[in-house]
Amino acid sequence: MLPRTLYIRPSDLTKALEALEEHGPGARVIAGGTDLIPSMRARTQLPSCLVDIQGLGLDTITRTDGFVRIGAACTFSELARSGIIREMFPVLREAASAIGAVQTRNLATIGGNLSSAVPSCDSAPALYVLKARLTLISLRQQRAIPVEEFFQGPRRTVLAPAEILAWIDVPVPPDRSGSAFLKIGRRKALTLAIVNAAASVCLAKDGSTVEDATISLGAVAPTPLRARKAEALLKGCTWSEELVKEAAWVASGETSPISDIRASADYRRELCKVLVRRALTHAWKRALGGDQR
Amino acid sequence: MKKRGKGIACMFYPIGFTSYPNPGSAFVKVNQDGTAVVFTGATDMGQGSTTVLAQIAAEELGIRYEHITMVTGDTEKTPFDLGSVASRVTYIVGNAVKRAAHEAKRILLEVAAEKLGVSPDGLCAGDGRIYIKGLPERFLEISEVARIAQMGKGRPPIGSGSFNPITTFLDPETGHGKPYGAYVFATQIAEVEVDTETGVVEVLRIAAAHDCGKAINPMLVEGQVEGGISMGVGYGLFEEMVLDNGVVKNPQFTDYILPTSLDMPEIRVGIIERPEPTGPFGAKGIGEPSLLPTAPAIINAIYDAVGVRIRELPATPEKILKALRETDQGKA
Repeated sequence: MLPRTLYIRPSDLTKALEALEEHGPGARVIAGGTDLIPSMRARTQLPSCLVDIQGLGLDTITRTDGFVRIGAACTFSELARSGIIREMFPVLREAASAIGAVQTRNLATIGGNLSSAVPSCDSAPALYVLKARLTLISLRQQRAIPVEEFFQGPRRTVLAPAEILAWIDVPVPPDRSGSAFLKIGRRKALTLAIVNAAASVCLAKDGSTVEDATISLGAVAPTPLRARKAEALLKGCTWSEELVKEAAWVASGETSPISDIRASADYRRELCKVLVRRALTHAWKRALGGDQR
Repeated sequence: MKKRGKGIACMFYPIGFTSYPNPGSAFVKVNQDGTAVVFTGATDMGQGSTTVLAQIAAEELGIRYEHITMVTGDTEKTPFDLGSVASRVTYIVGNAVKRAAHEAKRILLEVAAEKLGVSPDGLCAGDGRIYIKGLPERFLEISEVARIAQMGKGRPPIGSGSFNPITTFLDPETGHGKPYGAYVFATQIAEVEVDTETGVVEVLRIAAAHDCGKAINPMLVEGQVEGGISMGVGYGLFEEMVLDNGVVKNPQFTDYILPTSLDMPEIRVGIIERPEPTGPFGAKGIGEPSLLPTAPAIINAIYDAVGVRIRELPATPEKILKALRETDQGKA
């Protein structure tokens, strides 16, 4: 049974922030509740007060100059359906579609997925390679940070008490770039990632030199990570299958997976090599303009 | 790289155990409006046994299926039943319902025989009527016969029936004997695609041919087979109770993995009908048998695809990849 707790549904952001401030560190933000409610049922989280941020207008996807702003309360179904996301960030659409099942995606929000900060979080690798920035708001301040600086460890983020993750700004990708997301879980839906991976590739004008590449992996470290050594290896080099294979090896070496009920650390390292190579290859094809699927 | 393979598996399975008493029972009463009520302890868990038992009663009584009311599952009001287990309900309880309906029908036939001036054995029941064999235009409505039987003759058209396949305890020395009433047979073929770099298996298609004696409700038989295959896919690829010093480490469905609809293959079901003389209208059973060939067919298909033999279920991607690596090293 769900423990009894105070529930507040404020009508605007300021009122939400005031409610969080007033009820102190025991207060928690709730949106879709797909993570928080089961945790409350299991008594692993017992907030004294729930502040619902679903009525604050934070559920929109808007294109502005140079970036797209995604409200933290935007659900994964909305993201997966959005024409803007499909057209500009297929990697994010792939990640959004990989989460839970249809019923979960109808409720779960991108802000909630990030704030829960589980190492297997599917939206993070996609946002890493898109170089997204998160805006965190409290009554005292508003700050914007790169998504990678958000996570501190399993279920730990830089969010201060009474601070809300409000929206995510995703820069419009440069020309000749592409990105892709892949996930392996224990079945096709309703499953946490054994490993998930995203990659982006930006090609130089010659169409074969890698101008920039980003690689992100999830469920293989306490937080989603950027494989920076592998990225550095790719940068400035001419695209080749051997190069990508080597980068995937290097990326796998940058992880620190654990063995758990889902898979062994060794298997996770193997999957890293495969998923990074495949994600990079898919991203490269998209950068060439050949495959937008 | 993704490689495809096909695997086949066959099975036979016993229906209606006889090594212990295994009775099923039912009451049937025919109402004066021509409808009927069946009372039985058998419980429908969604597999459709209540539907099938109603069909058996309707067929035996010669009235429409829609005119049967089923009272089931409450053993305070119905005859006791051993349970919806061992794929026994259609075979055991179906026979009991058929016998109970037959007893009620016998009263109707005897009452109608007097009216129609023939012997009861010269009559049939069908389409809500009792008519003379070979002369369907000479008939009485079952509702009318039921009324006469109840109010005119003082012979309420009710029946009770039990079925217990003859109990034959096994020889304690040899274990020999006749432990079951009937047997069913099936073959399934699975086609899979194995990702040789990740070990992930996708079951693409399964063809399933099942003998069930007589399919009293073909759509429910198909449903049982499809449901069984989903369990077989889970058994073969996903389901595992992980123990650590006797403690179950995955006691919830987030970590005890069952297949979702997205993990299911395309399924084609073929029903093979070889009527069983001891079954109701020739029927045997279909519940458990439907899942038995699935996992071995998948494991054989994996072998066909990538040449590795998985001998411990579930065939997780990790196990398959490990086996693939060992095979590669063996070759090198």
